[in-house]
Amino acid sequence: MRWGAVAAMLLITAMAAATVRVVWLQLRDRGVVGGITIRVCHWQLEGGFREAFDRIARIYEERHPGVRIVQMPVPGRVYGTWTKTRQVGGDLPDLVQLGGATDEVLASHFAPLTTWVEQPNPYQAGTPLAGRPWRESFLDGLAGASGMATLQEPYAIGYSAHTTRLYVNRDLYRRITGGDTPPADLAGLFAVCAQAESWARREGVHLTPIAGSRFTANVLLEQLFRSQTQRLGLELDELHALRPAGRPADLLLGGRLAVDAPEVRAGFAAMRETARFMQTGFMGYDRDEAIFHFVTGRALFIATGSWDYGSIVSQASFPVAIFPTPLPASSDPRFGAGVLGATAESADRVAGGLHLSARSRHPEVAIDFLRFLTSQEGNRIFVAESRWMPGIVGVEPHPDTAAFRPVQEGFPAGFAFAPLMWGSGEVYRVQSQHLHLLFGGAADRLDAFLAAFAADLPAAAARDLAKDVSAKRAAVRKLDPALVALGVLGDAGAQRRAAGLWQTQNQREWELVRSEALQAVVEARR
Amino acid sequence: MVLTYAAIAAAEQRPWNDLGRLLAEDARGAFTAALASATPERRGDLQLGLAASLLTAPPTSEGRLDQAEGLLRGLVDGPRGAEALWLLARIPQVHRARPDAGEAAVRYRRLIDAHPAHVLAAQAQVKLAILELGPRSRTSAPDAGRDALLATHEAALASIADPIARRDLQLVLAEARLHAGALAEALAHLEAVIAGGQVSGPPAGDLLVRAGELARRLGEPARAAGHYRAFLAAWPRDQRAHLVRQRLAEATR
Repeated sequence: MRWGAVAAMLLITAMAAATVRVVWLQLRDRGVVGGITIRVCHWQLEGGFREAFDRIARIYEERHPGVRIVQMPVPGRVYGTWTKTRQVGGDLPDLVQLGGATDEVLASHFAPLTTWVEQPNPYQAGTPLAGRPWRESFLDGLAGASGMATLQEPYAIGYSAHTTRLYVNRDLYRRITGGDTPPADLAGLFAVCAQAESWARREGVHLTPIAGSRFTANVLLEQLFRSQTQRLGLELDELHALRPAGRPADLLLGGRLAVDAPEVRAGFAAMRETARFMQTGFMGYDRDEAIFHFVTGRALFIATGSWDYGSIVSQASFPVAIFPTPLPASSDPRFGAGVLGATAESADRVAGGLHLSARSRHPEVAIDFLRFLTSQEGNRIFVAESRWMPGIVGVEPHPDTAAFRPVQEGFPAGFAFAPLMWGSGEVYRVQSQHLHLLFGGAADRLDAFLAAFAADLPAAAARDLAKDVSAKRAAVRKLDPALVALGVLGDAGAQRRAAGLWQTQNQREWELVRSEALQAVVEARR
Repeated sequence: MVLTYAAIAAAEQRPWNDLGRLLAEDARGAFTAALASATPERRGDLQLGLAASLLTAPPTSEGRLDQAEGLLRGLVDGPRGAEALWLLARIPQVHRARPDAGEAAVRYRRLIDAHPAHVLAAQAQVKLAILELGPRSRTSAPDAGRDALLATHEAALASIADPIARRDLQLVLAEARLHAGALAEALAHLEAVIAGGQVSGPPAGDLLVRAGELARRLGEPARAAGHYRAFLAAWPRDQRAHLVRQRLAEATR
């Protein structure tokens, strides 16, 4: 009886202690007790990222006693739902990574950063960026930040610029090819892949030349398609801006492009012939499965981005080499006609997109942490720990990842109808619906795919155009109250924003009229 | 001289700030509440704010647009007349479920006539140009009156003192000239916009590339080179930089 009472007391005490601890931790995380806590949520579960972020957070905490930086990694599959639930509940972390957000979401849930980015970043003291506005620290000057294209204000801070490359199992590559020389172009890649297949047959081992998945195939195959439309894209550039103008589906509706154009056919043929070297059913694999396939030595190559470097190198039991993405040479007899040359990689798009919650209890502290993260010192630590590419002016890539340095000596990429992954709209749906034909085995499957795609594309393009007109009209509408309000407010900041918004609205309105004209043509044809 | 908007009371900044940040529903609630106890002299501003917020605050409806029109009509002859006429023109152009470009044009002209020096009258010129010069269709025959319309809108430039509206009208005229195949006139408009210095960020880079390309096509390499150099100085890491360097080399050969 006495022992029972003692046990009950112990249990109650333990429960009470646990409850107090949980409540205290909750209150601490919300910044009610125990100093200031800044919560940062993101979906970057790649190897090295969280460790790098933690290191920067701990250094920041050491320099700012009383401040805690809490990292909240959330898997990408549930990230969208998770953040939306937090938005609705008014409980967003202080800093939120977003890949894309509507103007309404930005305006309703996040704070514009204009005032802060115009001030110097104190953590750049002693560097050439000392005393300069914070925005000048970024490779893109924040021109690519959320909100800039439409609301004319930055809503996000990035810290890394990505490129994609071919990861190679170097031991296997040497055994198969007898050397380290990368394939010079697509024909070279095909030759090595064929060699790898022969080698595997001889050795009696299971080896896939290229580890495929919907994600990694998208990385490689879309670039191949765009290489084929590189020249055509510039020929169709009616705005003379040296980049493909308009959506390909609109060009098709306007009679300026056809599915049976040689460049389009070559693009899909290049995708099909490359996919032949991926494992059967690769479109059903996700990115992690493809990486697993590669790091366990069952594939010679995998195409993915600089963001996966840490994951792949830490998991692979063999040395990993990085090769340039082997695109077709302009001299290639089958895939060279549409190619202008190497594809230039834009080195001025900084990714990472950390947004400041409008409800943050400590916005100044959250901004101060972002300033440290995006100082040359902070970005160097980040690059060294994560092996991600830098996003800050004056910071060099880590020597291990120098191969990811963006290619500047090249030409703009061509166009693609739709990606293999993360697309939206009817053209994307129709392309996805028929991809099994493109990636099927029989020799006549390319023609079968093109016939099926061509049959469904005009109707799909017309439906996408109708949605586009509707979206453009909505985008034009929503700026009307804002423009009147900025005019009425009349201060310098409001006038500066209004100047940008007028341009955005008038340009959209011109594009709306153009899309409506195309829609009228399409409807007249029916 | 450019006439701008009348000032508002300091206490009313909050809902206007909300409206400026696209938070139309928050602003609508605040304007509605403030109107309940507003003095007669402040009612006009609050009614304008409420009408503006009704255009986009969810749920939007034809009924709310009617309500906004009613409020705006009451303001046309007061100190907020220009703003009221402006929004009255925007409603049929883009807010109604069935847009009416003709009615919108009539209302823009009324604004221009009533408040010719107001910044919104200058923007009304831009909107009229978009409505009248926008591409009809690729298959239709060239509109016989199109050149005359273009000339009319180009003449209107002289009366626009507001640099932002001037920039926007000139950009519309450049697109319209380009659409009509008049490269030299399009280039002149683009160069005027560049000289005005009112475009920043990536669109400024596009302007320089386009001006360079048009000059190249017109057989004016020195003129093209100037634009290419300016682009490369400002956007050295752009995906087009290598191609532009090639173009520059050709232009200066």
